[in-house]
Amino acid sequence: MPADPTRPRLIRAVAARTPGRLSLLALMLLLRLALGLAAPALLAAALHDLTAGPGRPDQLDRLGGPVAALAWTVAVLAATELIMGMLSATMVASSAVWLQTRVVGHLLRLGDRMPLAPGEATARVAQGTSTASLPYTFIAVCTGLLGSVIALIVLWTIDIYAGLVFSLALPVGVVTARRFMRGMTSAQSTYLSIQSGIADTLVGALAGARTVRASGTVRTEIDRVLAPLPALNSAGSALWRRQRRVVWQLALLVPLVQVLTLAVAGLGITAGRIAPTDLIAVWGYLALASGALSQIDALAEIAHVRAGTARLADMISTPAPAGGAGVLPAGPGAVSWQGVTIDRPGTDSVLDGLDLELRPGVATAFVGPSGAGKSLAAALVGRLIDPDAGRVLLDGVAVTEVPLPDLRRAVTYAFDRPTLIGTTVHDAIRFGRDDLTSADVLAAARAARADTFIRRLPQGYDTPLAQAPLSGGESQRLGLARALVRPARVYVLDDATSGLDTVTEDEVGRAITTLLAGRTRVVVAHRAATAAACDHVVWFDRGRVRAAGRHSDLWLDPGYRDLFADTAGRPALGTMPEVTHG
Amino acid sequence: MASPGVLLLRSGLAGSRAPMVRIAGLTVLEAAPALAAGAVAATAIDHGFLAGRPGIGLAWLGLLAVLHLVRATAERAVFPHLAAVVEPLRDHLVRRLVSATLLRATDRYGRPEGVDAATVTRLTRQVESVRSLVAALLRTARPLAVSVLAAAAGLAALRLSLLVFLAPLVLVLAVFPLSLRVLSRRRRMVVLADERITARIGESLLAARDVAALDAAGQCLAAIDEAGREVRRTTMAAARTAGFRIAMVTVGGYVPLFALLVAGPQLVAGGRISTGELVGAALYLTGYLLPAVQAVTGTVSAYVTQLGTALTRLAEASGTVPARTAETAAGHSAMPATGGIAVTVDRLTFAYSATAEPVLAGLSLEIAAGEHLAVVGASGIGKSTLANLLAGLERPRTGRVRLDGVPVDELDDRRRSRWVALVPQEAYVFAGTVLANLCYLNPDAEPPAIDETIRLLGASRLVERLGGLAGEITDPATQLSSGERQLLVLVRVHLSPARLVILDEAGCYLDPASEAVAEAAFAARPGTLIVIAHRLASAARADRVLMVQADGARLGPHRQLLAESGAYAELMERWRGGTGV
Repeated sequence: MPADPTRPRLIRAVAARTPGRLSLLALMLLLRLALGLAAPALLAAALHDLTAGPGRPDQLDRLGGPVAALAWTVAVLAATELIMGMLSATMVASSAVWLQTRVVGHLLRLGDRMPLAPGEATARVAQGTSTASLPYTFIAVCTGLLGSVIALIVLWTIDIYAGLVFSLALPVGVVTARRFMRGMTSAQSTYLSIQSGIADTLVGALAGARTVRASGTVRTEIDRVLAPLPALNSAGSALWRRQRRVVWQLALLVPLVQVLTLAVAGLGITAGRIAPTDLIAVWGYLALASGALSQIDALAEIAHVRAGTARLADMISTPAPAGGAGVLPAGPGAVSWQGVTIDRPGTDSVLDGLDLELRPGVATAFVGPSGAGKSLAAALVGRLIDPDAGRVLLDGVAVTEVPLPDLRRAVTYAFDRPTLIGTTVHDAIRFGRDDLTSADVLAAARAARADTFIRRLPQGYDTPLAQAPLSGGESQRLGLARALVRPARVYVLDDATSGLDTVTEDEVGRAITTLLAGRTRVVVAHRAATAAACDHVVWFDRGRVRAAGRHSDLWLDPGYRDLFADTAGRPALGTMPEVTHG
Repeated sequence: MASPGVLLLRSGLAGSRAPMVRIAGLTVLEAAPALAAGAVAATAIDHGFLAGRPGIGLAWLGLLAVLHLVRATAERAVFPHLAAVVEPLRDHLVRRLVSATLLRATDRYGRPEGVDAATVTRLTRQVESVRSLVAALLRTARPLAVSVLAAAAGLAALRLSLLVFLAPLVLVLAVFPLSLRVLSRRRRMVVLADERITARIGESLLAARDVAALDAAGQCLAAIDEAGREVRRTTMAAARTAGFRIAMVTVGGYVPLFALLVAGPQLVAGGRISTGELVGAALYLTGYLLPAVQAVTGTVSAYVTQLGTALTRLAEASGTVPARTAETAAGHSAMPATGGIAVTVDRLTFAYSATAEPVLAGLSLEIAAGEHLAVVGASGIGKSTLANLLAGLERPRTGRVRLDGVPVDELDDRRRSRWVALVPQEAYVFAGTVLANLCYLNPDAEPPAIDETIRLLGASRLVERLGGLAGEITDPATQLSSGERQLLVLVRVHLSPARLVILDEAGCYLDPASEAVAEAAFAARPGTLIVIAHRLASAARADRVLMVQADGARLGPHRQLLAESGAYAELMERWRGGTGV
């Protein structure tokens, strides 16, 4: 995996959020460490007093010393454990929420620039929350290591030979553990990405539920979603094989070194270097010193989390569009495109040095064949995308100079396939603008011809969005209402009525003309009727303006009529003129 | 633990009996050092190191080393079996969950569910936690539980009377299950809160473009933050319970040791215990029993409750799968070999609920085999409902739809889908090759026929851009426009064996010329064609037109309706109005 500077930054940012609690936890970890280190010595001392012989009269008093101290140690240890558990859990939970909010916030700022599918992004955000625990896990592992070092030193002081034997074995363990870490991260990444792939295909299949239902192909779909399962299985098995190699080495290494050390200490008993009860202390410190090596689970956890963090960092490495610091002057909503070029290799979508001035206060239709650049040109105004070259001005100011919130209040959009979001239908219409009143919502819904079907929903406007069965045309009308409810300078209706039948579209068109009279409108249109209803038409072709003018004037051009071919006298429509003119 | 979760686990482990037995066998070997350690230490001290015979002491410790070697070998040997248990379990869970989710979303008479971001969480998180928890339990909990027994047995072997000191420990372990229930409940709340926040995130990211355009990220983040507060609250409650328990066990686990220390003077004074045995007993208690009990009641019990929660959630998500008629191929089998299907609609009435106003009321209609019918009417008047009824995807309140005389509800799923192709507005193109997408409904389609159909529908340029039939569509949502997706789906349906094709505004995102080309191709195709018209031009192209209105329906050829129906003529007039000629 290439070095990625975003990853450590992300982890540092998490740590920097809760410096107080993190330091407190560190202190408690140290306290626990100290108590844990004291326990074997106290136990050995207590046992020593027991075996020191019955001949001593003050034996019972002396017994009270180490035993009482041990009792206190255990009590404080329990209390520390209790507080630490609660503190770390809440800290990690709140950091996780913060991290999720931060990543999602960034992705939402990216909008259409988001580098991956929503399903995959959601899965990554969900998987990545464990990043929040990384600073704490890291400190805990460090404290554990520190404890091991101290335990080792204590071991040396009890019996120098035992300490020496143990120290010789230590480097072997460290090397093994490091090798384990390296391989684990990339193996985890493979596993996680196959898993995300499955989730993503499933989300896709769910989106096509109506088709799948109608075609009775659900079995095919299940097979398709599950196709990567064998690969996941082998990636998972590879992870186990990797773990096995290291765990086996550590499982053998640690106890053997311990037994060896005990043997050396045992010889110390014979030689009179140490008391037999010290063996229990040696045992205790051996366990503590070995703790660092047997922390395989913590290491695996860190490897897992690092893989997740890399995937999180990857998502927010795409820079979000930055707004300018300028002020958007009052104006009529005049938009101009100056030498705007967009070149996206591999897609049909291009703009090729587009120069265009939009007439303020009127409706302009953008027409042209698919891929001519109509929607791209429209998307530039509200900076849903940015051009590769050239600039777009709104009332004389480059849109990049204006703070994004100001720009997006000035320019509002309705899409051909809106994604509705909100708790209720009412909430979905005024989403993001809770300053708007119910009367505003009602007026917008009426204009979008959505009022009638909304009222037929089980709870009308208060129907939870998730429970409102909406057809494509109905959600389109809600999306339209969502745009109409917002007071704006420029309204971009990007094929926003394409899902409606012509009668309804006609009604909606009239309502919009009344409601938005005097406002600048950009109407990306595929139908002649829609273009005809606009004051002005811009005809796009291969990323440039081919012609502009009134619909009735352009209509004289056969090429223009071809855009709306089925209204231009195809055989099946030969009947039409006699009726309309009759 | 609720039984559906246990059942799910059991079914997931059903095929893993052999590896489980092997793992259980290895456990005995793994417990060997725990059984022997104290006794070995006692003997080594008493008869070896203290008796001035270090050789004997070393020999005993050598035995301990051998037992550890045995243990490590056993631990290593566990992994392949572990993988053989855990990986198939994960496969089983993923399979169950994916099948159940898709089956439920595509239930014949159900309402198709929207994309549920919570599904993603369930899949990735719950399944993964079951996998790692079962693995962790098999790796750690199993040898630990045996260690407790082994160490107790070792202690008894040392001196039977020493077992008395284990009484407090037994008490702690007995009280323990009570607290487990409270903890399970609280952990479940955490999981639910987690799912809610992920659902919020999912819906926000799904709407990312719209949210950016509306500058509404603030409201999305506020909703996420609110869900986050719930996560924090539930986490705190669970952590409190867990923390108290761990503290209790720490204290409870040390009691036997203190009992030994307090009773020690009497034991030593009475000569009932040697120095080596005292060290050995302390070793059993602090070196094996205490850590094992701490782990069992702490980590392991946390694993168990987490496992229970995850399994319950998974069982809920993958349970209650609607029964499928596909497997029970009952009913009529007579079916003409080729040509269109005659559709008979008999006094059809439909409403979405018992109290709702009917969408269709008493509609009767005959469509001849091979006929081309257009359905027109305002949005929301019930055209799509009619399409669903004709395709047998809704149950009418009264009346019946017959296809070639067979009531549509008596057709099993397999036959119904082979007879009828319903194409909705939202074109479903999946990640895969162009060929796989086109042959979706007819896997046997021959390349020449496919090429011909592509040409016929005017999709040649699109297919070429995608890299031909072998071209890979990686992300349909961004790689293709709505219209392009519709075009591919139309090619797919044209290739299908369906004898009744219902296009429910299936070309609404195509430009008019392309839609006309596509419709002409379908009209030329043998079979019955019903077009829910999106543009009224579709009506003019059909043999007959059904105009659906709030106060009833009218049926007739286009010209006839124009002449006889004022409403129809008005509809056409308004549509014509826009051409500007």
